[in-house]
Amino acid sequence: MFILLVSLFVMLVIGIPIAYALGLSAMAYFMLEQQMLAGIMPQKFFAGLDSFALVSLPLFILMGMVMNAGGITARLLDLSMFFVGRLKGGLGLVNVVASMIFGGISGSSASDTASIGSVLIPEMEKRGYSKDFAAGITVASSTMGMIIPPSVPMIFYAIIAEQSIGKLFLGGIIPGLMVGVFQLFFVWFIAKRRNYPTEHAPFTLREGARQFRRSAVVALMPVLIVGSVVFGLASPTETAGLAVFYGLLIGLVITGLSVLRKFPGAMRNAMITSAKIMMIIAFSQLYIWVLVLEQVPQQVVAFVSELGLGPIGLMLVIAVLVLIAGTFIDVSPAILLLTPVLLPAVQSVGVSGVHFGVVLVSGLAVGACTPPVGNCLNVAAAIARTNIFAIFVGAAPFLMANVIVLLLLCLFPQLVMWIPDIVFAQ
Amino acid sequence: MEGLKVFERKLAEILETLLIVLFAFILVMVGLIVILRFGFNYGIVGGDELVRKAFLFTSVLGGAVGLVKREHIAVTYFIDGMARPLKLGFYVVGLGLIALVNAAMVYYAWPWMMATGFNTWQPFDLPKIIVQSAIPIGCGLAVVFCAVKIILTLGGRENIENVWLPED
Repeated sequence: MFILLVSLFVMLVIGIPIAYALGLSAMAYFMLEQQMLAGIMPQKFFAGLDSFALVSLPLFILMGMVMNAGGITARLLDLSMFFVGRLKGGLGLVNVVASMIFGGISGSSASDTASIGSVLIPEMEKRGYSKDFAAGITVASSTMGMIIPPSVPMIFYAIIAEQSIGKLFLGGIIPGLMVGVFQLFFVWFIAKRRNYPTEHAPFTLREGARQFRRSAVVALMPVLIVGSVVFGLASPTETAGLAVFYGLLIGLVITGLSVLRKFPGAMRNAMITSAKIMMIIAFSQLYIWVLVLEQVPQQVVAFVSELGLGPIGLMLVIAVLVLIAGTFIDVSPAILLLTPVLLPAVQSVGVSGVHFGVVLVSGLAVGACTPPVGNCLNVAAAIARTNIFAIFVGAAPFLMANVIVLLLLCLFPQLVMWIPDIVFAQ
Repeated sequence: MEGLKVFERKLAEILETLLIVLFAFILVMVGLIVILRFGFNYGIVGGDELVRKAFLFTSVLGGAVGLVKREHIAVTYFIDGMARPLKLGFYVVGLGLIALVNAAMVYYAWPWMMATGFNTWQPFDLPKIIVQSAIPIGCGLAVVFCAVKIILTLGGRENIENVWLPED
């Protein structure tokens, strides 16, 4: 146990990729403690990769990339402009609304930051917004990409924790919308104090109809995906495959053949992104197997019952832990490391795996926007040409919205469970 | 040294092309499975199994290619703050350790494949060793890429400013 934790910590500190650090730690354990069991390594590795459900991962990633390459950003920004552009701090509000819709399409915060940020950050600066504010709200609003369905981290968690992807998708709807509404309020409040401008955006029936016509096929995407998974029309993998074809079709209509030219590159990037996550999954199978062999989950359950915390108390403690972990570890490895250890403990006090999953992903989404490991910060820093700490300062007021929502999710599980309970009770 | 660099680039390019082909196969198969089911009430025997195994191969090959382009997810905060010689040292040691764990996978895969690899892979009636070979192939390539990277890094042909790129 000691070898397992210390070796992992040392290897992470010296910069060894997380997948291989997990494999090396497990290997060190086998070599020093259980040499007879080392032969199981390739079998566990193989089992970790051999899953039809996991095929949905690269397909969902590819779908986001295809939609992005298909020129949907401009249409979503126009639609968002129609809704909130005329209000104080219009471009800041547009940023949040566009992320709410875009998050439901790309399923990834980093691609949300890149797509929306590359258009809005320079434009906001031109209109007199401070650079920190513009980059900060772009980063903070992109967290909705992980919470609003379809979300790649939710799929990842569902597979690891053996939970229903449909329930997790539905469980993320209210928290994601709450984050968006709170952030809209914070943007409007700050914009009023700093006297940020409004935009010329006619709010008429005719303009509304025009914008809906232009964006309906794009905005319909998340509804189709969630509907297909929740109502069992197709498995998540099949849904993701169909969504890629749908994205290609939209791209062909909007940008013509340009989307086809970008398609092989998108496939390569989606596959590599998926492969590096799959390597973590495969090697973590060894690590988790050793943890189970050493009865670590049982020890955590025993420790939690000794603490005497109820479901709410435990979820609050876990929320703090997740926020801290998210600061230092990327989203996927954090899900992989925390789920097998914490899920049995929360289930032992009666917390649902779906509730825990939404809290976990919502907390880690904040971590993606905090230094030193915040991916969204790195993307925004490259676009805004500033450092990640300045962007974090700009994002901090809006990330408070996420923290408030996280707190509410711990206190009121119904915010997560209400929609899944209604839909799956039918 | 230049030849080694070309070898690394060419091998990575071949693997990337293979990845795209396999991924296209997965995409087409998944689309076909759904269309045939809904449109013609017809299923492809072993369709899911083929997709799973193609995905397995893409994952191990992609893992190896990720080493060439340094696209694996790592906590680089601490190593980025170190002095260059220390950073270089830990990067090379890290590559050595990655090669070690991959070599161990190849080593332990052999008796496993010999013991179970000639059982039938259903529903295709083929030996299982065909799919099990993904492990020694992928991990073997990872060992090769690590060795090449170590030589290129020590020979001063690698920029180590960003040792690993962040997660997308």
